[in-house]
Amino acid sequence: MKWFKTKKVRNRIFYTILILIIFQIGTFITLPNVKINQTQTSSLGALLNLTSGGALSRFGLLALGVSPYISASIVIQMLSKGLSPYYTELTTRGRSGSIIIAQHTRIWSIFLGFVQAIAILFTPTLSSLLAISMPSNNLEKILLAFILTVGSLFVSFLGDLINENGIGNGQSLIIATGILTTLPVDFYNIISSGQYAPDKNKFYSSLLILIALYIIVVIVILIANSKEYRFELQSKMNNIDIKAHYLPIKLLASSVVPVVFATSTLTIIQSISLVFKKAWSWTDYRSVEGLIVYTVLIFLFTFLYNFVQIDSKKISADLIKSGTYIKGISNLETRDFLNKKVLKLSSIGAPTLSLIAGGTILASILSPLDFNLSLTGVSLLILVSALQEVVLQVKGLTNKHNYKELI
Amino acid sequence: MINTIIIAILSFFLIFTIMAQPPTQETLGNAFNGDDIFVSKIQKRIKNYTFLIALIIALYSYFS
Repeated sequence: MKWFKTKKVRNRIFYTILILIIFQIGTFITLPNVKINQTQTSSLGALLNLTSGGALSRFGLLALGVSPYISASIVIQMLSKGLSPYYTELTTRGRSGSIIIAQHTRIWSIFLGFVQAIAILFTPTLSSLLAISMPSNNLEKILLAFILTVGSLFVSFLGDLINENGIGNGQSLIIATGILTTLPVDFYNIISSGQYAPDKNKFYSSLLILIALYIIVVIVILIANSKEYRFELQSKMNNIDIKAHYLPIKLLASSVVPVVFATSTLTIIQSISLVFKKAWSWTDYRSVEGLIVYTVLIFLFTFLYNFVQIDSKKISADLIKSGTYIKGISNLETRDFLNKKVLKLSSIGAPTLSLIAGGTILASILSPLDFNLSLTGVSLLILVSALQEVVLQVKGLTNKHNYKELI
Repeated sequence: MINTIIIAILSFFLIFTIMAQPPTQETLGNAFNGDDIFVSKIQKRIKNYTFLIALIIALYSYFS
């Protein structure tokens, strides 16, 4: 409880909780003339709901949550890794460049949020899927889309406040709290499945297997998140071997981004299928073929995003500038060496992520009983990763503020 | 309809107050060391206005 006695850490934790409460209240305040008829249970609704931090199911003022901001961040990050010379140049400008990039991310999130809101409000199949009844007036729908867009901008502002004065990554924590709020519903679903199950033994055995599977998934996430590869660095100036001097690359270098990206892609394809009234079962991740597509997407995005995240060209240039090299590798070979390592790393990370994301979904498909749970491997991954970061920061901050006692 | 128009107008003000503030990037300084970020008086005031407008929107939506 040392962290609780440290005033600065305690204040940051309370501040984070306060901001998350503000977000949750905002999701419960309904929009004028919009009514929710029932709780949605479709796979598209579940996917959309996940990235909105659980807010979309209530369709309140902050219904879009952080999803437009996440999509905008992904777009900007892809553009700044060589796709757009302007954004690539901005990344080399340091602090001033990163502020411009962050401001552009906000502008992109406004645009993407508006497109998403318009798609939901103007597509009858999408709005009926989310069980929303709304006014038929087109002008009012456009105004509602604008209000929802500003709501999502406000959520990203709340996330920024957590980054600035709180603990953990704001955007991840907002999604994580959304996942946490679905847990009581999941418990209720389990209890009600138990009450109405004809065979109690079958129910308890299925439940035990499910709990064991979730525990295994959490353990895999904890191990995968902490796994780090270290490449020893050597200085050209002197030959002193410094143990702390290394280049770290995490196993899940892209963290949850490939999963979020795969989820967004599947959501877009599924929305298109609904707009054109096509029954594409492979877009439903709760079916076997849908799960295969989802897993393949996660696999591909892990490889793609790891190469985007670990920029071998920039790292090798930075090493040359700082007069260092990876032990046993000359500066000319660094880029090829890193690319090979990223490929190797991705070939371990991609199946791990696919296993985490697909494992629980596969179990629910194969399970003889349907528990109707919204908690999947993906939500667990986001939840555990966000909480792990909070714990790491709390530890770091507590040590920093109690440094004098250590001497 | 009138309620939606009023909330949309208030949302318009909210966009300005949010966009007027420089975005904060999570840096090693504030994330792991917990260093305080300098915030000017004007920025603090805009932040307060942002919360005030958001509160008005929330209350108006709730009671309308």
